[in-house]
Amino acid sequence: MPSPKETRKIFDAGSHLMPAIHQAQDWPYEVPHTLYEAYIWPTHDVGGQPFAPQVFEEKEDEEWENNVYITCEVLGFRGMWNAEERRRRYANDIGMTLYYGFPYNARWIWGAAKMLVDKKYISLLELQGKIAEIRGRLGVNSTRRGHAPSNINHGTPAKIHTKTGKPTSGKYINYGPKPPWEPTGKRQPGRFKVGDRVRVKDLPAIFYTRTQMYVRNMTGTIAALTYPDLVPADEAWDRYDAPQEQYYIVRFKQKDLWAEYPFENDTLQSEYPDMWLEAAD
Amino acid sequence: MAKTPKDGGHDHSEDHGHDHSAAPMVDEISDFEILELAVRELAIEKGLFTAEDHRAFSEWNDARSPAAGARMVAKAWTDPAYRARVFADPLAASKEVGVDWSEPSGFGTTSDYMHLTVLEDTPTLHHVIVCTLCSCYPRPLLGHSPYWYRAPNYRRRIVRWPREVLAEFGLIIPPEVELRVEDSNAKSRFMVLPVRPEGTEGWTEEQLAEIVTRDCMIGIALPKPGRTTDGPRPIHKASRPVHSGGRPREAAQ
Repeated sequence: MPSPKETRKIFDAGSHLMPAIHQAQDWPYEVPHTLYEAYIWPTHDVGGQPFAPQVFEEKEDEEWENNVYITCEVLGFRGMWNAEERRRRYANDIGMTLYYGFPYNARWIWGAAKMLVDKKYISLLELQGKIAEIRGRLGVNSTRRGHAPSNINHGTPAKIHTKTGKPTSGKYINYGPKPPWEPTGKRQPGRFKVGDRVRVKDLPAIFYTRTQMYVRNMTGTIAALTYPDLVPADEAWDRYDAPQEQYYIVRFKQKDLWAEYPFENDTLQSEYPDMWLEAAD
Repeated sequence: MAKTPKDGGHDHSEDHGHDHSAAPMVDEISDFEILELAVRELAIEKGLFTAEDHRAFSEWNDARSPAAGARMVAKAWTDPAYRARVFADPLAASKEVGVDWSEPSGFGTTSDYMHLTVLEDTPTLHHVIVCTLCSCYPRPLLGHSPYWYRAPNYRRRIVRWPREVLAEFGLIIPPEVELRVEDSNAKSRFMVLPVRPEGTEGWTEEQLAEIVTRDCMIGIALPKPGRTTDGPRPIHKASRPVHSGGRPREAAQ
């Protein structure tokens, strides 16, 4: 007799099965526009996609996941990348198969490794050599003691490539008054004020965007002015001298976003730079 | 730490028909663990950052907890002048309860920026936060986001079927209350300031903070007397959880 737990496991496995239509996809001669848009839809932009309910689970962080988070943050402090570039790399450049196939933090470290190679901080051979060395040192298939021992000598000072700050004796490290991702470009005056009706543009979704598909071509109302900053399309490629745009919180009626939405008064807010908005009548 | 053979203890003998003469499968180090170590070690060897950078941020990270946000809410419930500051200058109000958003670097963190907005619930307006594009979350005030908050299912559905999703968390919003979803897609970070529940008259800030749980500040639950924890919800335990700030045990203490 299976235990109730085993029965549940079988049930879960069975409910994962889904029929699929397989169509040859090897380099078609033409791609219709709708399909093209579907292909280039930025992988991370999932808002509004229908999906069956799942159990909302609390998951404890693994030690490696926590270490990934810290490593990726520190790479930011030292000017190797900013969070927008990180998101582009781990959530879009990675492609749909790895986006859904890897654990959450695995995508972060994958993106970090790719960034270091792309920007020539390390060579691919160095990365491959290091992975092999660590495998040799720790031994895949070998007994381990609950965590990954490392040869990192904590607390040893080392040469820093960027000029963003210096260690202090304080509780934390003072990296200086400005982040490495501080924009330097001219601030463009904002065109809108609170209460203005605006429509979100529908610019090509190619490569990266923070403007969700579900708001495109939708009209809402400016609810607040927030801050001037780079637009994601520039920041995600470290173009710190690009113009800075005013950002706004835009409020939408849910009924305007989703025709079938059953409640009149419900709303949704999200944030956009000036250039993504146009005046609506 | 327990060492559980990955194959559940099956006998790997010759009857499998292929070679198992390599080391037995025992509690392997994962590929992602190796990749993180590789990136970190190369970055330190190349002088891109220091081990001290990693240690210092880890310390900041260890100090994060929703307790900070709860203090902010409780204070706003009891002190009208503070409540006004929460909306007028949220970063300063945050500092008053011990959370300085410019830490730990002098300019904040790489992910969190320094643009906080506190969303004020009223008897006719309820807020819930999400980041449909990744996992933006007010970490300095609330610590790490729960896993379900980062996962695609919540992100997909909460913007379009918010009342259904809230009901799955056990929260029914009456139809006459406006439900507002805040999709945190840029650099602003959001925290919900719920309505102070009835039955808490005369309570101290400390008593009030007890019932302001993480889920109340995300907007998937409401505070009420006697409710001091979130859930119940299944917990997926880590096989190798974070200890000593996520540092290897042999690291300098």
